Amino acid sequence: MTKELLLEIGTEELPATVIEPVLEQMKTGAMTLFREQSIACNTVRTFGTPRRLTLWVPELGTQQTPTSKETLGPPRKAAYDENGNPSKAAIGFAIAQGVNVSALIIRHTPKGEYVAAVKRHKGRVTSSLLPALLDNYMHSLSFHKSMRWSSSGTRFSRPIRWIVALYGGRTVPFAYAGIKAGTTTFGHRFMSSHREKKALKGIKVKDFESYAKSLEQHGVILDQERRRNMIRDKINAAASNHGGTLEYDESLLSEATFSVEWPYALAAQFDPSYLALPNDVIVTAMQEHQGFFAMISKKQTLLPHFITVCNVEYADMGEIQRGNERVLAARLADAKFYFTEDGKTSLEAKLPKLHTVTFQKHLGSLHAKVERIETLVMYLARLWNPSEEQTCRRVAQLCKVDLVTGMVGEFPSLQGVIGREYARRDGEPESVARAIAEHYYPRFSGDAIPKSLPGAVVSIADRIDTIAGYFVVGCAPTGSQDPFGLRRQAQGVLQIALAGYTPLSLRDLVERALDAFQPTLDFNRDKVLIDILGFLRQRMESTCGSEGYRYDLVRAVLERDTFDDPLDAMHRVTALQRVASDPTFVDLVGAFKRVINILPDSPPNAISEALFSAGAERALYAKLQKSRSQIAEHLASGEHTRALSLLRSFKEPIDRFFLDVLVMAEDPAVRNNRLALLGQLQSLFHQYADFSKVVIEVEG
Amino acid sequence: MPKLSFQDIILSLHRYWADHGCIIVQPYDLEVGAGTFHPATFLRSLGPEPWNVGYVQPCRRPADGRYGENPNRLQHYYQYQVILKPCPDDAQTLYLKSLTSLGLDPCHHDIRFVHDDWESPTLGAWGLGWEVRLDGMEITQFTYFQEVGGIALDLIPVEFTYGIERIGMYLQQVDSVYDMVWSDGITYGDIHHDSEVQFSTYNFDDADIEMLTDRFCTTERESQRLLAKGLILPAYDWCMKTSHIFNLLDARGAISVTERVGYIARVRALARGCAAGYLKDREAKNFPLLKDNKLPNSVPATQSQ
Repeated sequence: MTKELLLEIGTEELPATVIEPVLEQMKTGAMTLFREQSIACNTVRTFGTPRRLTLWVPELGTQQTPTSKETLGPPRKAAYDENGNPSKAAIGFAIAQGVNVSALIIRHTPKGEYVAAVKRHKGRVTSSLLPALLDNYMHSLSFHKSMRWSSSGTRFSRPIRWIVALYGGRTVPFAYAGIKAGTTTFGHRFMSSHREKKALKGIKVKDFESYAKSLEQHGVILDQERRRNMIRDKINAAASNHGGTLEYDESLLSEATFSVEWPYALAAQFDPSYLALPNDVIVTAMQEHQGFFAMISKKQTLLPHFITVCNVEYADMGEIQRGNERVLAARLADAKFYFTEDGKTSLEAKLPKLHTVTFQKHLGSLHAKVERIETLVMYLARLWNPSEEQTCRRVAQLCKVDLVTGMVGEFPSLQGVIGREYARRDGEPESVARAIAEHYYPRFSGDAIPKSLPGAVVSIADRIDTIAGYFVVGCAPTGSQDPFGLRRQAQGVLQIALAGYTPLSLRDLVERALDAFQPTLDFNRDKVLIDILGFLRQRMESTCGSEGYRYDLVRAVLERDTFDDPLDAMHRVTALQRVASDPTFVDLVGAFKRVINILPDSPPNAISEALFSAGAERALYAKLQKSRSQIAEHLASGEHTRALSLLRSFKEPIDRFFLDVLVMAEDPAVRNNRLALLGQLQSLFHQYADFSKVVIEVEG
Repeated sequence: MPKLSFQDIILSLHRYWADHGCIIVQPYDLEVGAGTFHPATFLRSLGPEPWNVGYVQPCRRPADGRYGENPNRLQHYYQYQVILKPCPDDAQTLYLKSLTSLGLDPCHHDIRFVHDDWESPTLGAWGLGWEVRLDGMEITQFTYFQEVGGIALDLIPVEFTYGIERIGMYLQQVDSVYDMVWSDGITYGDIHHDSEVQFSTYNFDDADIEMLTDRFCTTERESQRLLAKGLILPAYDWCMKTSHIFNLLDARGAISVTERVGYIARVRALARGCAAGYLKDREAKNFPLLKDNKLPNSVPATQSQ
């Protein structure tokens, strides 16, 4: 037997972004709850609007399914004597389990035969359990940010104002946050009362079907997917009425879906003269601040129309339309004011203003930062493409100037974009303009990286300067504390480098960054350098780890004092991972670990061929001599797989060596000679990675 | 219905909230950045004493000045502030009816409660609620306070902060705040345009940085001295003055982004001290408003929807 469960949590307006996650919580929470309680339920559905969160279980078992729980007791031998009489142990166990000793059964286990007690539960009636269960259930819902509003002290995203809880058409008697669950819901805040005043007193609910139907009559489309589709259809229709199409992010549509109970797409317009503003400014003013949908023509140009999704639908929407238009007009008027004001001087002319903006108390002004960026940029440009040196330098000089414009003051999220637009207006080369916007990329993990070389160069230089500067003044991240977002900055450097910017020596780059602080600041240069390189290495480890590489392989490659070029390191890890589970590689690592184990911390390094006695010794030495330069060449030319297979060919000679040769010979000269040979072998392997860090999984 | 003048809006809100059990108090006589600074909000929100109040608060935000050239931006403007403590169950309904009293029928407009996590780092205060939008325009900040002066609140107050210039501009359908009718024949511009020009010039270009930097330390010290003596209300006055001097220095561009955090923390330390001191003092007095029940009855809870 099953009955329908309906729970509606009536709230004041929930933030649009919390509704979807909490509906998911409600769904999985209900399924887990009823499973744990052994109450049958097939389907669980959840619905949400700004003012209600609804759980619907069409078929919920009226009774817990009977369960039985088995507990193992003492071994059979200890439980019964040879006549089959229960021992003290068996009687004690039965008492502890609350079963009759005669009810104990025997279970065969891999460890032998044991007695077991089986406890059966016939199951309680669901309706008697629901009050406590629903109370716990509501308590389990969590929000990123929650608040208190009443003396109950209950926390929720926003105040709860009513609760409907029906099981099989009857009220589930419980109270939450001081509110008694009942059978009365409320319709749309405005549409409902607009239609009939008595709706204010609430709507009686019998079951889900009548509930959803009455809500719709009172201005509420309960099902979010229906609302989403309605909005999509309505805004598209409204756009095509104006000969346009819409280009928007799904998150904007979601925001609209969870901001309204009764969607209405209202088309409105702005003065076409504002189209002279950069499109990004207009779109940002519309989307970020108002949640408006921007409209574009078939030629992909912005139209002076937009769509706003209202929460009401009246015969005359004129006043609402004019209101929305005036809000946007005020913002665009602001933008236009700044666009004109800012345009009175070029970016270059504004450059000195950066003197007045402090980057960091001890690290000087933004102007000083730009000068430091410029030095690093010149170094990187020469390294990667000297023909773009001048472009890179120009980008470095202008990349921060938009921060002192009125427009960025008004629309901070447009930093870089405004720099690009103003550079274009100033007649700067397009490559310069574009790279100004690009140098802020990647803005977050997973974001795009700069498309052009100048953008990448300036982005890396800017970030390395910031990291170096904060380390110099003692503001390095500690533990989970990273108040200046240096980890993100480092991640950005690595993400760009890994996209193909090589060769790159992080050590050289950081050294140069530190040079810039040396004249004015007093700091322990050696320590800061080591700290920064260690920090970058950690970030690299985490980058590789998050891309699914084996941590031991990542460490083998990175935790040498030679980690320097991110892309090269990544190639080494990739090649290593490719062969890591190959049995011959596993054997090689085993052989190498034997070498490591026998070596003292600082092995002797002079080798005299005359002291070799065994053939295996000579063979290993000859191979070593031959391979050293080959490995170096392979690594230099990026042929990591070839370097690796060369190393793998050492497995045989090493095994042979250990078989034929006694390293710890009595004659110290011979002994040291052999240790020196192994020491050189270790150095050879170290050119690639520290193989002793590779974890060999032992099967079984 | 004739269009309400600016002063009509204030008078209507006074009438409405007085009728709903609020004490109507006067603006605080110091420079503040928001109505929340008024002791009738900041201090009275603390502790278990009920408190329902409405008032106008002139606010100064030096950095928002635009030399009188921008039709929507002012360095000096007015907030209409209401505190209902404890927050009644029908706070939203009461608020919406106050709009009706201004001639704004919620059933003819698109009124939205758009989530807003309010925070005042200088006051060590935060709350959750909304910015209320009228046909897309923000007209009110609606906040359930959770913490004030770093102290978690037992009795949750709700704060409505009306942007009355915006409401007036909307009602009068004017695009510039300076064109809004204040009272018959007198516009907002007649009263405030000169001060916007002069104060913008002072705030951005002329304020004496060295003098203000010194003064910041002096007022801070005075507040600390008074706190140590248990003279909480005067200490809070000096806390407000310290905060305003910080705002001036900030507008003048004398404070870098990184220094900012430190300055704010210093003001917040004073605010926290005042909050703790106030609560201690009220407790020592046995929370007089709780016992004597001298306040008008708290706002009657009507049908919750």
